Amino acid sequence: MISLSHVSKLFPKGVHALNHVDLNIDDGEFVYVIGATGSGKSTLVRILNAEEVPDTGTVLVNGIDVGKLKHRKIPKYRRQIGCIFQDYRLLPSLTVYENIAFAMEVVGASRKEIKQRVAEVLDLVDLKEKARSYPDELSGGQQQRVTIGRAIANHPSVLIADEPTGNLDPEKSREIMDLLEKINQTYGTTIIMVTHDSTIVDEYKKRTIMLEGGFVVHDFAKGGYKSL
Amino acid sequence: MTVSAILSVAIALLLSMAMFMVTINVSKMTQNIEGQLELQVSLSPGLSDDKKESLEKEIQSVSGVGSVTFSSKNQELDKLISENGEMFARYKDANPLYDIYLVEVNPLNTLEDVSDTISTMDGVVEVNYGGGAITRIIDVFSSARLGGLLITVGLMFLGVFLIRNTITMTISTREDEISIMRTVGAYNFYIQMPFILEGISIGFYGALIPTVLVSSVYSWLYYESGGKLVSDIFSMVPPWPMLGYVVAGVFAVGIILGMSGSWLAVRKQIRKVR
Repeated sequence: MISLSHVSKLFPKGVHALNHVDLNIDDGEFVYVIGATGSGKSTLVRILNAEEVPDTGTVLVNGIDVGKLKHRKIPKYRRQIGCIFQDYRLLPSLTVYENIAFAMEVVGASRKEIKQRVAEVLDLVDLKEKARSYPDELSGGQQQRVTIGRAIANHPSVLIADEPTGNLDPEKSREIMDLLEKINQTYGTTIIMVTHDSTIVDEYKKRTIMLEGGFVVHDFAKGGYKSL
Repeated sequence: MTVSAILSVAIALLLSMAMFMVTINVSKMTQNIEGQLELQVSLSPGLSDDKKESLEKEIQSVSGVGSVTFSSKNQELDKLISENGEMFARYKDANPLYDIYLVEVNPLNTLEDVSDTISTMDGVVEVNYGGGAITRIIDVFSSARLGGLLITVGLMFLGVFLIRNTITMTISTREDEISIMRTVGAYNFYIQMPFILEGISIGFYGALIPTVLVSSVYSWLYYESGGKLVSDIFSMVPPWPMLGYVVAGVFAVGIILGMSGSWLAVRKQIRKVR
C-alpha cells in the first residue's frame, strides 16, 4: 500500500515540483504516471525511492514513512523497492548473470539462493542464453530486461519503472510491457511506471495518473490517453 | 592511484617519524641535564649535628625543593679523587672541602629562586649551580620538544587529508558502482568495507617505507657517533627497544590514517545521494 498525502516538493529553481499530491495505490496495482517533461514525474519517483525528501506531507510505503528515513535506514527500505531506469544502470564489467547476482550479494543472500534465484529470474526475463554476455554485447531491450531481472531478484513488493521503454522501439517496448505484466500477475508486485509513451498507455490500459505542473490533474481507473 | 596514495602517506609518516625521533632525543637530553642539575649547598665548617638537621628541615620546607641529600666533606673528597685522579689524595689529611647538601629542584625554573632563598639561611656558606645558561638550555629544549610534538601531530592530519583525497579520486571512478549498490539496497558498511580495507593496506605499505628508512638511518647514526653528540649530556636514546615501539606506533598510526582517510572519502561519496 502506497499513500501520499499533501506531498509537496519545491526545488530552488521552482521546477520539477510536486504540489499537494494525494495518491493511494493498492497492493498489486499497475499504475502509469504520465505528464510532460517538468510535470513532476521524476520527482515522484525519487521521493518514492527515498532519493528525495518531500518538503511537506507524508509518503507511506508499506507503513514506512519514507520521507523520515535516516540515511543509514534507507538500504533496508530499498530492499522492498525494485527500480528500473531508462538508462539501465548496469555494471559494464559484470556479465548478465553477475549483474543480477550482484543485487542479491549486496543484500547478503547465500550462494545457493543466488544461483537458484538468478536462474529463475533469467528464465522469467528470457535471457538464459545471454547469461555470460556483457551488457555492451546486448541490445537495448535485452539490457532493459537485465535491469528488470536485477530489480525483481530480491522479491520487492513495489517496482518503480522510470521510462523503461524510453529508449526502445515499439516492438521491444511491447516485450518489456509483457514482461512487466507477467511480473505484476505472477508475483502480485505493485508496479508504478512513469512514461510518456502514449502508444503503450493506450494499448495496455491501466490506471493512469496524469501530472501537470506538480498537480495530479487526472486519475483515471480506466486508463489510456484517449480517455483523458 | 594506490601507489601515489602510499607515497603520500609514506612522506607524511616519514616526516612525522623523523620529527618524533628528534623529539624523543631532545626529551632524553633534557632529562639528562635535569638529572644532573642540583644545587650544591656548602655548609659552614664545624656546624653541629643538631644545626645541620634543622637546616636540612629548613631547606626541605622551601617550595620547589625535591630531595635533599647530605654528603660529608670526606665523601666529596673521595668523589673528587675518583673523578680527577690520585693527585687529590694528598688533601686527605687536611680536607679543605665543605660538608654539603645536594638539593634537587623541581620544577627547574624555580632554580634561581630556591638558590637565593637557601643562600640567605644561617649556616650556609654558598650555593652553587650551573648558572643561567643551563636554565636557558632547558627552556629551549622544552620548547623544541613541544614544537616537535605539534609538528608530528600536524603531519598526521596532513596524512589523513592526503589519503582522503587520493581515495576520493579512486572512488569517483567507481561512483556508478556505489550508486547502483545504494539503489539495490546495500548497507553502508557493505559499500565502505572494500574501501576501508584498501585504506588499511595503503596505511600499512605507507608505514613500511619510513620505518625501514628512519630505523636504519638512526641506528647508523647511533653506532657511528657512539651514541652521543659532543658530550655525555647530549647522549642519544639507544635504538633498541625504543625503535621497536616507535615502529609499532608508526604502523598503528599509518593503518589508522588509512582507515579514517578512506572512510571519510567513501562516506562523502555515499552521502552524495540519499
